[in-house]
Amino acid sequence: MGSWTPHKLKLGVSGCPRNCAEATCKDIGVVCVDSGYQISIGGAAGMDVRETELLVQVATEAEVIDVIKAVTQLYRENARYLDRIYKWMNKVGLDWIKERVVDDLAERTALVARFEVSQDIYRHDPWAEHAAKQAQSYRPVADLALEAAE
Amino acid sequence: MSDWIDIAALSDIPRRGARVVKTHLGCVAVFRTGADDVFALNNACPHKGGPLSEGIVHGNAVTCPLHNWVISLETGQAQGADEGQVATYPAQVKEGRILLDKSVLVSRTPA
Ligand code: FES
Repeated sequence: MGSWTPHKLKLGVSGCPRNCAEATCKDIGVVCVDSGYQISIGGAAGMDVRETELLVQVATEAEVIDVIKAVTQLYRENARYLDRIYKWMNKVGLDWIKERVVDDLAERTALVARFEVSQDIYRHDPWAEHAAKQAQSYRPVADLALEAAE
Repeated sequence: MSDWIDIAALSDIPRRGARVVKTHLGCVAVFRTGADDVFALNNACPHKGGPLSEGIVHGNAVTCPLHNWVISLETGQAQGADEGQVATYPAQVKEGRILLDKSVLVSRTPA
């Protein structure tokens, strides 16, 4: 959210293998399955049409978030300007990416930390300001619940 | 005997919007139309209880956010082919303040 990337970055999350969100033709896709979450990358559905390739399957939502942050940061740090993930992946290889965000947990953690640094600067919640000033306007204007009938 | 009480400023409700008033029998939706008229209705659609205060106000009617029934703000009656009616309550605006009749609101008993 807000961080710059070499090219646009589309994400899709499907809650079940029927995959209604079409997560398997996004740059990063998550498909929830009984045993966890399949994270796959490098899809496209524009001029080029490509199915994502499985990066890893993890068991928890927290791991999903970390893996996505890490692969996004690896992409931010290494891909050429205007290379979508699938083009970058063609150059470095899926194994090279796996080594860093799947196998090497220390590297994953470091990537996540660096992604967070960029988010510190760029993350902007468009609703936060509105909520701070206007939250009251969504509440009941008056409460007569305790008024007794005479 | 009516007992008009001050609920809020007219400006507390956006034009073509609504706010709710909590009562012992659920929320009453207070609508403000584009022409600055104010109407008070039960905040439950006669169809399946949809929150009318979150619907879209057009003219003197609101479209329920759940299944698009159109409810007259004046009569509470469902428009068109749909049949049903929601309770309405007296409301008035005086010097920029919205007044509701408390005696009507608090004397209701569960249907
Ligand atoms: S609940 Fe209002 S239209 Fe169905």
